Amino acid sequence: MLATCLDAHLVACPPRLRRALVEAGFNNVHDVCHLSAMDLAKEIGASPEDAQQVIDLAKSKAVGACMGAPITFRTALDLFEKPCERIPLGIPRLDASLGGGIRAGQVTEICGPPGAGKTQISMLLSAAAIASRRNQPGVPTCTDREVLYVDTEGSFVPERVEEIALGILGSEAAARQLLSQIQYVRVHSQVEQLALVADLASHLDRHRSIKVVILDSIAFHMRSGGSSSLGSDGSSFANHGSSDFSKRQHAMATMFHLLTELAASRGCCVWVTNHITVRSSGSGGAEAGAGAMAKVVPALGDLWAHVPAERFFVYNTNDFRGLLVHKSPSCPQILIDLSQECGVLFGTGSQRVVQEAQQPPAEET
Amino acid sequence: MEAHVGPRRSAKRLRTAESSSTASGLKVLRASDLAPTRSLTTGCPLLDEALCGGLRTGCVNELVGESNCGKTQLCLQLLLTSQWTSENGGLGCKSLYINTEGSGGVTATRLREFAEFHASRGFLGGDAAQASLASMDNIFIERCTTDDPHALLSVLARARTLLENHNVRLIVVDSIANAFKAFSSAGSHHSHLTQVLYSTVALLKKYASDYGACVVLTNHVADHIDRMPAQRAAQAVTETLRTSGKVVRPSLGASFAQGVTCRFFVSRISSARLNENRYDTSGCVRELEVVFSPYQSKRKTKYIINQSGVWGIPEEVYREGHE
Repeated sequence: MLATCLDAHLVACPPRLRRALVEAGFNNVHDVCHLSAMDLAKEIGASPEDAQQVIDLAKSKAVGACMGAPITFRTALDLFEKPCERIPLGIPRLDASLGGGIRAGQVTEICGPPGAGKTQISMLLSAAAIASRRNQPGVPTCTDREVLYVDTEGSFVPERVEEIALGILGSEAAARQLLSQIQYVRVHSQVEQLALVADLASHLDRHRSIKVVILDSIAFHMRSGGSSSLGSDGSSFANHGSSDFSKRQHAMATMFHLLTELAASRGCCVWVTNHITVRSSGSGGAEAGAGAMAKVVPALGDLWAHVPAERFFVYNTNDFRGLLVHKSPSCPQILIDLSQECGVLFGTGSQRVVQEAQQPPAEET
Repeated sequence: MEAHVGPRRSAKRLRTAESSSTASGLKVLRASDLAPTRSLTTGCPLLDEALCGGLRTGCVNELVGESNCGKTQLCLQLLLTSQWTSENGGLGCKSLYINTEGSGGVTATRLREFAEFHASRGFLGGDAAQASLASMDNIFIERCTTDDPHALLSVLARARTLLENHNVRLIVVDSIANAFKAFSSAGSHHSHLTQVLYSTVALLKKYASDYGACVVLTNHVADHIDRMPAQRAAQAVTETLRTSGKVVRPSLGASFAQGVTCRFFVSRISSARLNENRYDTSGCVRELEVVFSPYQSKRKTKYIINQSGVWGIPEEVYREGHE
């Protein structure tokens, strides 16, 4: 496929060399890279120094153009025989349906209304990821895996994690050990969140034992710019500066891309908590007639919706606590009753009160 | 090793050596190194038990309920209990009270009466008259009754110096609903207002986290009207709650609800009356419910309000007095 005009990368050459290149039939960086300076000089009728200049330019551009690395193909059988790692959450029916647990190497999302239990399940995951049941029958112990917990809302409770760990591991010393293997970062603003995600790759390079990255929640700082019902309420954004909107979209898109890439390249599990919001579909927001339907959807819009490979919803209505597996490549939609399945977290009997050491003295009334 | 390492390279070495911060300077800690959060007692052991020790520092607590349920009274109590020493469940600190309700909230007079009452009962220790004055000196009161939603944000921005230099560790905003009055009329689609609300809550969270402060916001409720399907879904995000026999929702909508760490609902039980003389109260029983909190499961407890404050009552007493 020949380009008829000179490749954008080579536009930085001086004009006379550019003309000479085009006349000689060189159209893009790849044509030029492989030649020696003498050969190129002969072809385009320029001096060796000029030719060398062009080749250097082409090579510097070609590095960015990602050429040279051969593409390896694998068969589906290879993938089948070497299944990816799964981290059991400790909720038996969920783990069984998902084929072992939460999958490493991809982004998984859990969303729900406030107070539904998203942070609780995230804390459960951080404990379950470090504790291991696999190799030994009997009491599980800590592996040397680590978890990075990114807290954007300040809802992480170390005492609660210790309680959960105690329930899984059975000894206080082991629970303390597990807690020391959770790395914790608190993020206070949108800027900090974007900066952190950009740094995640290098942080994970320095701490290779981190196998799970939990981002709780991704939505809190990103929703600052008003309603997230992007489709229907476009008018409100037009008033507040479309450039802000597109900048925000761009920043979010970069963040999502980084998260996906991180999960895939390092084989770690990226677990993201999200809020929910309302989107109205159908004809316009002004008509409140029978035509306008509204549904409760995860926040951050369609741009985000395609990122996670698996999506869970968690509910907490008056008597029912449930987890819905909404989207999963390996599991059909099922609803799991958490109060039955997950005694360590939500069972009414087993939840210990997190007591303070000091008690106020009894007061007279 | 080279004799002289230039500044850029040495900074880079420092960064890679000290693995406890990311390249952008955010600190990464171990979960085991996180200090446990303290609780602030309400002054009543029964209420504290329902709240698993009291109101937590380091997070944003919301007290939501209809008027005359004791929200302001409870805030008043907290302004005093925060001054108790930590062995007694307090924070040993000063407090900031931001009044957006005007005369409905805590005024200096009301505070003084309450402080004197407590001092006379010996709760504040030492000489009663002096103690009550001293305790009032530990409370900063700020009025913020304009309609401008930015007003609260600027008050909070100025309050940073109180947290920094004056050992203020309790911030009470009574009420946050009034500070954002325009919200209910504009509806939650007004993105600019949502933005200001979000910034306010985020700033409060930051204060709570950086200074280990306890933040208490009071909020109103609005009647739940069964709306058209389009808006019904919007309402579905927050739960409905019952008070005085009617169904209500907390104000300020879902985006605010998602910024609150712990939500407590106070309500009036319409059918209950207690023996007035025995408990020195008007007889009306109220209920405190934990709607959501990362620290504990849902719980309810009944309480009464009388001259000396807000006091929980045990279930047996309620049932007994009820008959």
